[in-house]
Amino acid sequence: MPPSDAQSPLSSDPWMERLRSSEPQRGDAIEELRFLLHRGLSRSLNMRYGVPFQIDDVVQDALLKILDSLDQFEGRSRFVTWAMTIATRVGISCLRRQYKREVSIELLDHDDSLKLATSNTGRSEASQNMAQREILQQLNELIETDLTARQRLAIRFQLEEIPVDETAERIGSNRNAVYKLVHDARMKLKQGLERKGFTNEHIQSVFALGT
Amino acid sequence: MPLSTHQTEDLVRMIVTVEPDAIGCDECFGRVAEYADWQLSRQEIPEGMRAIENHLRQCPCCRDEYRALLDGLEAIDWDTR
Repeated sequence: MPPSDAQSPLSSDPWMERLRSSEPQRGDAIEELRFLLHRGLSRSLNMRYGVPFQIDDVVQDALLKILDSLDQFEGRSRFVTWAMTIATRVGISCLRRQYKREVSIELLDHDDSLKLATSNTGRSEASQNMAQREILQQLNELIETDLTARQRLAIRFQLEEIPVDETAERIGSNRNAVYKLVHDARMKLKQGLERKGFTNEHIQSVFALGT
Repeated sequence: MPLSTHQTEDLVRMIVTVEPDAIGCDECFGRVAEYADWQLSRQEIPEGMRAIENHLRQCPCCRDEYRALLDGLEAIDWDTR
């Protein structure tokens, strides 16, 4: 917590006191929190991912989750900031479920789920195309030899912009594990390319990637 | 089906930008409110919070949620918090 509030002990957090008090203070606090969540989520989630959502339903779900989780508030942040992290996750999870893209699982479940086209990206000079092709060929080899089938699939899902929660559901895992799976795969591919003599700088230059 | 040109470039970008990450999404979620307060206070982020910053750079999912969190917090008048 920033220094200005560091002297405020958790026990005196007014939100926690009010939410744990008896009526009517508790009810007033809940309605005040509902108002703040509504204001915050209306701004942050409205038309995110291009889909409308039922704000009142999301706020209600978030509020219930927050009230159920009060014991987990450790006072390391302002209470409303903490509450908004929970509400934001509830809201975004709801939006991501609606946004779910129709990607054929059968199409992606084959062993070639992460096969690269090694021609070229079509926007470069001939010499650069050759350099790209060389990197992509090495990358294809590394994908085959260094990654597991689950890693290939998880990366493909990410490239298809399938939400990580949905990826986790499809491969029977959880969000944290999917992140680790993909992160480890990225590290392996990076280290593999380095072993083959392709530095980050060279790759960025060949693909004209802005960082 | 092979990756499209755009997806291939995204994959290459994912590879060249990856860095070691000491934490995962769960730990990030547990500490991101504190990180947001530091960022919104416009004070220097403490060294102990750097792992959160690094994870947010690495993880598109957590980064997306964090941006939404900041948008929401900005909509809530700071004085009311």
